[in-house]
Amino acid sequence: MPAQPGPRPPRPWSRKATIAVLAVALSALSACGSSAVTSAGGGSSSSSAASPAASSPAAASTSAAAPAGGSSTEVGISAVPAGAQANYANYQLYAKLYPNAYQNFTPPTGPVKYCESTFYLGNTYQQGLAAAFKQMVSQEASAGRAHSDFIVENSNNSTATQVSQFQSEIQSGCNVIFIAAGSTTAFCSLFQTAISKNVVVVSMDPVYCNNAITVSFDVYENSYQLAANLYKGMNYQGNLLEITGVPGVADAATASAAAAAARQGHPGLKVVGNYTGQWTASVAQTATAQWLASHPGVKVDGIIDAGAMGVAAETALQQAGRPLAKVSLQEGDCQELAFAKANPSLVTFMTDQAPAPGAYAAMNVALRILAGQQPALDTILYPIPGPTAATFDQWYTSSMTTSSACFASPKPALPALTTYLGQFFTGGQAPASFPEPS
Amino acid sequence: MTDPNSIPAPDGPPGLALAARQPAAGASRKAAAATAANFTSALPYILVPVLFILSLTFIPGYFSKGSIVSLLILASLLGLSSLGQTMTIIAGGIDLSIPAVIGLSDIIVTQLYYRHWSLPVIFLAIAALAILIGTISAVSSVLLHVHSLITSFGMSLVVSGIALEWSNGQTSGAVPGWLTSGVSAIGHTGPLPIPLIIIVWAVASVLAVGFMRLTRIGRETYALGANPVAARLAIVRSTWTLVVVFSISALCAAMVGVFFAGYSGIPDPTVGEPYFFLTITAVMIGGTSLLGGRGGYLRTVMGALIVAELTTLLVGVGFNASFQELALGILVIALTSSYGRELKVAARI
Repeated sequence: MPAQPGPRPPRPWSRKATIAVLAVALSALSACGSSAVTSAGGGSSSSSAASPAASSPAAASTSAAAPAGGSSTEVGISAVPAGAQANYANYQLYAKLYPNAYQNFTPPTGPVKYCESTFYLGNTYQQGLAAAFKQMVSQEASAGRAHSDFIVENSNNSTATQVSQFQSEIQSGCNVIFIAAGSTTAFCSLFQTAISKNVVVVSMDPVYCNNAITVSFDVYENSYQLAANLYKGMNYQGNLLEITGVPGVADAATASAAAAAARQGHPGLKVVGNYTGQWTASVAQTATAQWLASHPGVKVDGIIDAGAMGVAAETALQQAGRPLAKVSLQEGDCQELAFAKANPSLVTFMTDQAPAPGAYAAMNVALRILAGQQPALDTILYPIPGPTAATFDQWYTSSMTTSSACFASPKPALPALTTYLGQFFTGGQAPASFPEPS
Repeated sequence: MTDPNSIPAPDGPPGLALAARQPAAGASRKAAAATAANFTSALPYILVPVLFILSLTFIPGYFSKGSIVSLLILASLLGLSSLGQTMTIIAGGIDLSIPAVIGLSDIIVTQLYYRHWSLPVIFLAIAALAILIGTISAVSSVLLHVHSLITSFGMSLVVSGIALEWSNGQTSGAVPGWLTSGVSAIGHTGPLPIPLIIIVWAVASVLAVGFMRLTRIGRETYALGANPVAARLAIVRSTWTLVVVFSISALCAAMVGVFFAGYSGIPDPTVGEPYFFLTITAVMIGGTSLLGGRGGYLRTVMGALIVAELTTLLVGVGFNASFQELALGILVIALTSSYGRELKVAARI
């Protein structure tokens, strides 16, 4: 029987559903996709001036599960060598101090296999860390003390992937694993597994469990100093743009809290824009350009840079035909040094957070433990070096331009760093020399 | 030989003229449906001025050259990177290697210019590399009988790896001043007070629309996306068509990478990452079907403008990044749902 002509049936629901699912998936994925345009800025007219203690990651973690393995009892500042205690000011807002968990560590015999696990290899800092480790491992391999292959696993901002990759590094026979962890607590049980397999784990960010060695600087204190000097340079008056790091990452929240704390008692300072630059210059520049386009009449006097984004924001100001703003710079990379050389009156404070000194400190600590030395505690916070007016030329060279994505040589910072780290260790025999990144 | 004229006009409202041919029975219902289809089809063209007026209303001082040019620069970067994406999607594919090609191009131009290579040589090298990348994505898709989503994603990983290995965290770069000026809101193009990228986007838009509407390969792209089997039977040059559209996509991405080098001034292999989804978003908001065979670049131009306008408006009125994502997601869902309500082909003939 032939079909009767008549009104067409409605569109099949399956196709509608397919379109809807595609749209939802795209928008959801887009939200995860670190979009420059869509992530551009808040423009909040008020600062996020939560109290530092309440908003700090360390404070937030107090309700987290107890550390897996090792001791769950924190030690106080008294466990820190007297000569280093000044670098632990407000450490509670950034890190937790536990006793050394490597008391029963047995150094491996034969060449050491070095590995790295990072949550993100997409910015110049993390790439620089990996490159510096590679250089130092190569030097150790030349001396016959290490395997020449240096394994780097990148989870691309996925903690679940990083957990899996870290586990595979333990199983593949790594003796030392340097970790830039995407979570403060997700790796605690794996760190314990590493200890049981005689693997040294050196974390370059705070982790809230007592079974890895943390080698870092105090992000809270550093951020506070950067912000305080910026505000002072602005005479505590004017409009601020705050460019934050990756949302949800502990260091980003810590830096923001420190900047807010430094603003307290200075009502003349007003945060007119607050948006994420994801610690990536191009993202920060795009976000700043968009903020400027949507705030044509708002003057910008200062930029709070959570790291690696200050010069990009200044470039956006310049390209928009706006006056440049004051800024404190913390990366110590070539473009920041070149910007400071060209605009000394705009740069209120500088630190050198280049990856090479950080990698050097982590390697230094690992080598000491491999040599049988024991650290005083599990969290070693070191002072951030930085150029001053008197020492600027030790960092800056004439080949640096604002288009350079390189980092200054770490050499000026290394002797003092070696001496500083030495005070944390007792027992064993310290290595006669340490490999240095170029 | 396929007669290009036998393929239906690809873009523009399909419902009205066709619905007029329907018999009297049910004509009014179909006319109403056709009117609705015409309206939804025109939505992107309506939204662009509406969002602009809203921005003028809610953002004090927005009607200034600086703000408008800044908006157009951001839209140009997105629009150019979405040009090739539009073609690959119309052809029934998708190009996920765009962000990686942008990053690689950024690295190449900054580093080679820093090493005093001549710009024409650099641009030729980038163009050759882009065509190679596009060709590999397309040919491997045909040879392996897998969707270009897979092959272009694979190429994306390969290209990203090369860019990361090349930059290695210790990079220096330089870009010519005219390139920086070309993406600056205060930049000029010769005597014109308009940055180069906006002019390039305008010219590229005209060429792309003409290419898709007037050339044989443009019509073959629509035919391939509408029905690959029928296209093969109609002797559409499937492989060649895919090679051309994927090469155009990679070339556009490479061009955006060059402009990004001028924009940020530093070598950055990840500079294209935000465009992983944004190019698809611009294509979808414009109204080009992800299922292939329908749409056009003029629609994507509207999509890029809408994305740039909407985010600028939301930033301007003080919404944070999370809300911007939310608003964009809702817009994508609303628009794609409305596009899905057009008459089916069988109802139009």
